[in-house]
Amino acid sequence: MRRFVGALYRTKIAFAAALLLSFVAFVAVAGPFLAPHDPNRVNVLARFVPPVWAERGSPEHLLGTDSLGRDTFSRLILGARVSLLVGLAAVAIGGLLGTTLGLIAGYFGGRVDSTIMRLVDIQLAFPGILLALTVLALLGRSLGNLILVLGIVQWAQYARLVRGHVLSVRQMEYVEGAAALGARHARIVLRHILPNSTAPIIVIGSFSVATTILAESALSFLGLGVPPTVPTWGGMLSEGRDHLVRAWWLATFPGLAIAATVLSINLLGDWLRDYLDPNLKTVL
Amino acid sequence: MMFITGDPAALMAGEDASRADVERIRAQMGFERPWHVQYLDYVARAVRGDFGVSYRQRQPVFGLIMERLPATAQLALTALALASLVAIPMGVIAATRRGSAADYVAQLIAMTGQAIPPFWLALMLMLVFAVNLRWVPVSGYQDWTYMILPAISLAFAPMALQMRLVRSSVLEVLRRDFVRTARAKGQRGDVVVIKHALRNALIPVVTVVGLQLGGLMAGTVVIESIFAWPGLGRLMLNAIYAKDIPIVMAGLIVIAVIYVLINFLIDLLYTLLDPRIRY
Repeated sequence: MRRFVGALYRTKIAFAAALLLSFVAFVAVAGPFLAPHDPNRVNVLARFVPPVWAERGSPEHLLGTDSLGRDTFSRLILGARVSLLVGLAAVAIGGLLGTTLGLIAGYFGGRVDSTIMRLVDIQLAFPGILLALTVLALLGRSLGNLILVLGIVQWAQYARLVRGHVLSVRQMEYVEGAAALGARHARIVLRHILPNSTAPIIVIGSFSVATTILAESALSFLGLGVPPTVPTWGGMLSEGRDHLVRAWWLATFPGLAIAATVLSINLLGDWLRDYLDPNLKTVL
Repeated sequence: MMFITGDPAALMAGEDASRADVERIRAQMGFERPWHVQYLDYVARAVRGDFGVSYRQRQPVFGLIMERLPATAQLALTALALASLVAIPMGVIAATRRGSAADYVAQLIAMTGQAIPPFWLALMLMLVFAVNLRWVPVSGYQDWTYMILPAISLAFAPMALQMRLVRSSVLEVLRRDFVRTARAKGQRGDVVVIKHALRNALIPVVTVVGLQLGGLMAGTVVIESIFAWPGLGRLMLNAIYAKDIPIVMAGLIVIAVIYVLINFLIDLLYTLLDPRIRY
């Protein structure tokens, strides 16, 4: 752990990204205690108040208010929750599903392998975002559905990656050794093969958190994310779009929050790839 | 997918239809048949290009999609061309002058480009160049000036990825023996880079560009809705909101087919770039 943090500290840009990400995570967890206002409190007397540094700005609302007089800064803070939660949970679901199927395909080979890999090909041919959009429109919008859908549409990339890795690890002497000693399939896969495939899974998973956050914000922007009472960055952007001319700040700050978070995750993912296994650079 | 939206016959009949109307439509569309019969019938028709009739617009779905496809293809191809035109030269410059200011700028653009949500970029560009400066129209579909903002918004993310890829790919190729041989022959530096290095470095780039085109066909959904672009993306989005399932299903299938076709074309393109690859 200490070596990990030390190596992280030496790479200035990755360290900065980690700091920013920890800050976003802290805000996401402690959101309700940090927000100066109730994010859903409507105040018609204070509609379209610009940010504090602009003319007519008020120190009461650091980043201004929206068309209903709700505090942008507080909504921004609460929005961090949905983005991070959906990003992490969906990747966990997709990663688990994809890794399991990839392990099975790579280890058993044969007809099982070709069936699973054809499913991968089919899944990859359908654009994930459109599929998610369709399913959400039919099932209805809720946080659970959002996480589930964004998780399931990304299983194929893990399956393909893990299968490829398993194929190379399978031939290793220690796997043959374990089999010769009479280990069962489950033990060989979980104790000998999986631990040697974790580096690429972690790396691709970290990049996927970033793309999932972008996908979540796009879905919320289109009005198919979580229910509208929950503030999200994508949802705020969508409201800001309707008042682009009158209130530039409404669309500007949520976008900055998304971009900064995603950028940090990508920078950290880059670093993680180089740290865990420099050879991955040519593959991922 | 056809069965979780409630009663499609009621949806088609509209809100103030009588029960008899609903039943008539149900019989007409064959919704009363068992689901597997409906499904097999759908597949049998779909392979012949008959994707059924839109619940709302009462027109053959395939025609509606083909009507909208050119506008989306136009936008996606322009965006992709724009991305490659910027990304390939910048990637090469970044690789050949590694560590220079140009390299840092390119890497900065590459990192931010992958982090900025395209629809946010679209709104910001709209705010600055259409609303405040009035250089370009806000939205719509008339002459080429209407294409500028949507194309840039759409191009930014693929451009960033291509740039990263060109840079790392060229760096890798420049280390190879044949590049050293070419230099040893006394060939000029830029000839070596363009003729020997770039051609070999482009193979992985071509793969990604092809995949990006497939992704862009889907990525246009949000951008088209922002800029009121009359393409496939907006058709599908409206169909999704209206639960007009035949359009949604056919749209997904058409996009997947295009994606597969593009992959096939890329495989053919490899043989042009690298005569050693044969099928």
